[in-house]
Amino acid sequence: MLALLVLHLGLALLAPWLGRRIGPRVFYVVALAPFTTAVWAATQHAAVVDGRPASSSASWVPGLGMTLDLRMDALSLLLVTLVAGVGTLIFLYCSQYFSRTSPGVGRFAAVLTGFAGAMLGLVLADDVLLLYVFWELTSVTSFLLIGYSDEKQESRRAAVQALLVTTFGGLVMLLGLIVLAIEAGTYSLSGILADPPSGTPTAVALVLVLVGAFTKSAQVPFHPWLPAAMAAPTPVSAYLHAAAMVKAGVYLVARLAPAFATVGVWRPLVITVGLATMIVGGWRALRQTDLKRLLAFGTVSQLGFLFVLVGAGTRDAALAGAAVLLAHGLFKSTLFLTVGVIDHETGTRDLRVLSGLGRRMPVLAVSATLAAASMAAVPPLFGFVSKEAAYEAFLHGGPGGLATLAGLFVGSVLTGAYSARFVWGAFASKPGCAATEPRTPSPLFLAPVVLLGQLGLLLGLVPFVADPLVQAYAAEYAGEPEPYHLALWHGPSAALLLSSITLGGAAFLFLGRERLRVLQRQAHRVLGVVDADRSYDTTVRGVDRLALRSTAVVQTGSLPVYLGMVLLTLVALPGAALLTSTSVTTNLRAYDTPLQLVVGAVIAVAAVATARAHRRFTAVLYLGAVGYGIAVLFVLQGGPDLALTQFLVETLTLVVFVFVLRRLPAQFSRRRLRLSQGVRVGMALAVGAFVTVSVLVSTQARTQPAASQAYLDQAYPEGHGRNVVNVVLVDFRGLDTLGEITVLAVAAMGITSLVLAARRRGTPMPADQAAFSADGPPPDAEPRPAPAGDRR
Amino acid sequence: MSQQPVDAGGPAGLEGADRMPAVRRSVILETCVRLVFHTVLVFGLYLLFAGHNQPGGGFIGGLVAGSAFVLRYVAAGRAELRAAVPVDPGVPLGLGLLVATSTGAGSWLFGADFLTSAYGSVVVPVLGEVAASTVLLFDIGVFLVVVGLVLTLLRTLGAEAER
Repeated sequence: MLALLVLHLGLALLAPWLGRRIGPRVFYVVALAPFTTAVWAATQHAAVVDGRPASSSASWVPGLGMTLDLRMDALSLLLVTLVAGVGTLIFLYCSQYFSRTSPGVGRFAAVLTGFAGAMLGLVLADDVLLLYVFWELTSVTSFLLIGYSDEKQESRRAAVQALLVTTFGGLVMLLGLIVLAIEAGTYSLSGILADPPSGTPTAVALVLVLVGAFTKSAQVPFHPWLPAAMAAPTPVSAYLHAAAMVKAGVYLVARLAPAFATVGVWRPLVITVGLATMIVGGWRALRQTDLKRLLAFGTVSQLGFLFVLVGAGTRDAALAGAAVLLAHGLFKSTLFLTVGVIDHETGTRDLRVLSGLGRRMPVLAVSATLAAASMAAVPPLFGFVSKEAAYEAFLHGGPGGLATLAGLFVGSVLTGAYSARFVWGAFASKPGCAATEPRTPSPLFLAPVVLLGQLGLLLGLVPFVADPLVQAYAAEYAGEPEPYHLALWHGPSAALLLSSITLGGAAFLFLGRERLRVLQRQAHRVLGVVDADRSYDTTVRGVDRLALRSTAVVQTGSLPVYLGMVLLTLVALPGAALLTSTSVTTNLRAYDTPLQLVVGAVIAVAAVATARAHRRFTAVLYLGAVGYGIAVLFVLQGGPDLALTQFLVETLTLVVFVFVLRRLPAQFSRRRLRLSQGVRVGMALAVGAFVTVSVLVSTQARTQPAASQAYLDQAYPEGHGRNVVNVVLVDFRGLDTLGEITVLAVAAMGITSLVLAARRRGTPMPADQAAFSADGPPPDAEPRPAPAGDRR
Repeated sequence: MSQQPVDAGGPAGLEGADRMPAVRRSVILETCVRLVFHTVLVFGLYLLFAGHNQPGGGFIGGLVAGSAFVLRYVAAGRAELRAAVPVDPGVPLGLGLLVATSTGAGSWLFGADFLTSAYGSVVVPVLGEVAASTVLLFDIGVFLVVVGLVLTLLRTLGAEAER
């Protein structure tokens, strides 16, 4: 299994290069990845249905106990089949969808392959953290794929929206998964399910996990990202937003439901949200004029349906859920690919413009009609078989009883109606519309559509082919004597009656579409106040505004204020801690050699002179004297390395100062400063007192033997060096040093870009009108460039 | 100061300084820099190599070597700096990081943890047996990064601002 993931990754890395060489034919190559996966999954079918899941394990981060545990049971196999099987066809479709001149085909193929790999990993992962990693990988690849047409603002907005919503959910889910894992005492998914924890923390964790599933699978109120994501190229919509990625939430719920459906608010929450989504999605789908958006809202609706089924937590519902999952993957990708063909050959997806396509593209029309009929649950298609199973699961007092059944019924009627609307919109001849003249699509372009469409019919006629797999998943619910089987004909039953009424209702809604349109417009005037898409915008704008305001408050652009804040924090926080400590070192010596007194006096005089200087240059020189004085102190203490470094850094700082001073007025500003001199003197005294006291306290605070002694002992035997400072730097603490030289390099790049960017804008260097000031605006000081990392 | 052009471009001067206005040139400074430049540079290298057992090391050595370039720039301006270092300062920076990181990663080849040091001695002609440690390679990386940083400062805050 790991090899399959590596295959995806390898082909994804190869794709950009191949894309430049052979254009859209790159998809033939990368299709190898899902194709191999599909073949492998087929070979595992017998064993998995038999209750022998395939599994593999590899060490990943042994230090953290993270392993690459993969496991494929019936549910995983079902999804792998969808992801890899539908994936292969969509990759082939891509080779025709993109033209030789499409930009970035290689990059697109790479991301799409990467997505297929991430999705595969997601459904195979048996470790909750691994699951999360793949989960977020699909979010990221989805972001890249939606934003494929990065020159369009609509695409960028949709990509960001999808990313924000799904990663928000992903993070919430991560919290839930961690709590769940801690409660269960294991991070293994199968381990958690085998011995499920219960109690309040578990119930809360489950709600958090559900939020993740809701966002990923576009449930109300997180659904608007999915219709917006239709800005992506059609193969992406067909693959990510119909067959694969949006099923991740369904998968997670289906995975957890057998163990947790009865814990806390799981069942009412999932069923309520699912039904609401099903109805809202169906209602909105009936209003769309863009075929792709119609399908998108249809997908939202179907995902709600799936949530109700797999989340209800009964055997029959789970069985129906697995069947619908399969059926939806087939018919929805067919329909999306159909729209892709129509869009590609006619240049529009607007059902008000398209007319008479059915006669001109009969093959496409038949396949699409089959798929739409499957969606509407018309016999003898697979959609009908699965819808029967769904009704059956709730007809005999399933969870939520009649209320759930009624919700499913309403949703199904809407589903039937928008299915009809899709076929009518795409293929019917409309009065008053000029017939559309499409180009002829190539056979290879149509093949995936036809194949997927026929599969829905085929599975409907021989549902027992799919039966063992869905049975194997449903078997996770123990008990229930007479298991339901998928079949086309169950004899006259209540479910059959309900199916017929559903179709009748759908036909009624479709035929009365003109009146419905008026009704919907009126309803929208009332209900339009509650618009999830608009609340997304409001939230994002609110966060932006908050960030702007807080930046405006915190970043005033005045250096003295920044410096003051830093110093005040220093005095206030560690300083307050100092006040609580009682022991102060009493082991004070006035000096070790009298020379220290002399040097100390020089430093003190230079420091006072710095503060009193009127000319910048003078102040810098005095400051240099302070630094050199300290270097001399180091020499007297016997630290030649330290002293040498201090001398050199001081010199370099002085040179840099001089460079910068060339650009500044010679004298300090004489304007009155905002902070009075008293305040600044007070602040300086406080900082000085803090430093002094902290030295006195911290020398007394030692409780462990000094680390320096160990370094002294080890330097020669371990590091083969007599210069302990150097051995510590390059050997004992080598990683720290590596980090620090990286910082130096980054600082160098920062300085370069700051200075060069300013030059490019035409202002040679922030000079007298620099962006920083001694007293807020107007400015007159220059930011002091970081001197060569004064690390010692 | 004399207003007449100073003929400092002779054997004692620095060539880059020819581009500077004559009034800003100083023969004494140029001559001194010419005399000490190589010495300072070699001293920086000495500190780098001696650092393991005596005061010194890559950081200090880099600062000393960097100050050799500071001298060249201060004495004769940016043309001189370009003559002294014909490459972009990014080159020593990147090279240094590369050397330091690959020294660390090199220990993986021997199955050891990142940055594990090894020690041995080699016989060098003339010098005899010389003890060496892989941390020297790491220190060379540090040296290069520091030199690169000093050159960056000279280039950006010095030479670029001069225009």
